[in-house]
Amino acid sequence: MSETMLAMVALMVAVFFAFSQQRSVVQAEQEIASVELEVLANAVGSEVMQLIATQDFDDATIGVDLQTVTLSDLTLPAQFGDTLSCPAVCDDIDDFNNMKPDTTFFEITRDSLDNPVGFNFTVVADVKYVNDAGVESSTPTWMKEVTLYVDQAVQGLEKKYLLQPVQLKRQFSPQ
Amino acid sequence: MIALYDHLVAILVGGVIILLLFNVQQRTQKSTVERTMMYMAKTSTLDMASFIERDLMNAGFNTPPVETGVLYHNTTGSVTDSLVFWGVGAGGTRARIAYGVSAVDSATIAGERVPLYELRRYERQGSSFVRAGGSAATLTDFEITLLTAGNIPTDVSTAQKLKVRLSNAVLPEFGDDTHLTGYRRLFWGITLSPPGLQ
Repeated sequence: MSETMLAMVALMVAVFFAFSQQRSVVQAEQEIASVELEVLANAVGSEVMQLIATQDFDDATIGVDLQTVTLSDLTLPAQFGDTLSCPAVCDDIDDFNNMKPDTTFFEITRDSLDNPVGFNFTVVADVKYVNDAGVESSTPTWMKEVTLYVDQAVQGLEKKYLLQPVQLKRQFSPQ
Repeated sequence: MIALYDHLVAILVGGVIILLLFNVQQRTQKSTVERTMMYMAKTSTLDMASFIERDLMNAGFNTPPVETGVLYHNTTGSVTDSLVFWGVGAGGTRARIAYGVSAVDSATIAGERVPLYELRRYERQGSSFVRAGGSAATLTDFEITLLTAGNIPTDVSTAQKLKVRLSNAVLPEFGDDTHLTGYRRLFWGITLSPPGLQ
């Protein structure tokens, strides 16, 4: 009888072990799906970063000779952001700060009815001045650092595969 | 009788446990391999994306208004097999850059047989094009569309934007194996407005 009890205990231990392994396999599957979305999110973020890169450095540098602009002419960090018109119309880099989250659709393929199939991503931007050492500065410098947070946008019962938002960071100087 | 019963139960339970552990081991191994493949594919895709983005942002580099920044572009089906443009060469000087994409292998992805393309990058040095970079033969799709400033498809004469779309197969190995079986693809894309084309 004792052998039967021992065998049953062994079976229970094995079942628990199998469950825990099964859970780690499911977790690995989720991570793999997240990696797929990370690459798409990177593409969306890179595209938005390209859009930001085409803007002027500051309101004070639009259409003027850069030699005539001084640090005191630049926008103060507290005045960053143009929530009224951005991202529809942003004319300089700091306008993107805390902009209304922009939702972008990344098309992967088309279904049999020629409808686009893909994922929606939300992009949020954070802009700050940084000094030569790359540390945030509370006063204007000639370098602005833009950080984009790209997350999967889900609606209703859609499943969220991206485990955490993708961050893209780039620094810009006037050109 | 009880001893015999105990033995039978023990053998049965032992057999079940061995089968269970074998199955768990198989699944864990498969999952670990898939995860490694995916991270390798992610790294290679983002590396390739980074070099394409950097390269194409220089399209039209130092090109006078009387010339076009993009010199030649050809797409067959949905694959851009040739693109030649003025860009930045290895020495940081203006050079003609050529992309050539050709099918070199095939693989079964999600039950479908698809060609695998290799991107080859060349730089004009003297009178000939010299190989200078490229991708592994894992591309399942590669398309560059020339666009006007208003995002309308156009030709080399009025191109101001370059829309890139590519997909990279997640494969267990690289090489000439004609029976490669992948299970996923990674997609990447960007629309660039190179200053040299404005």
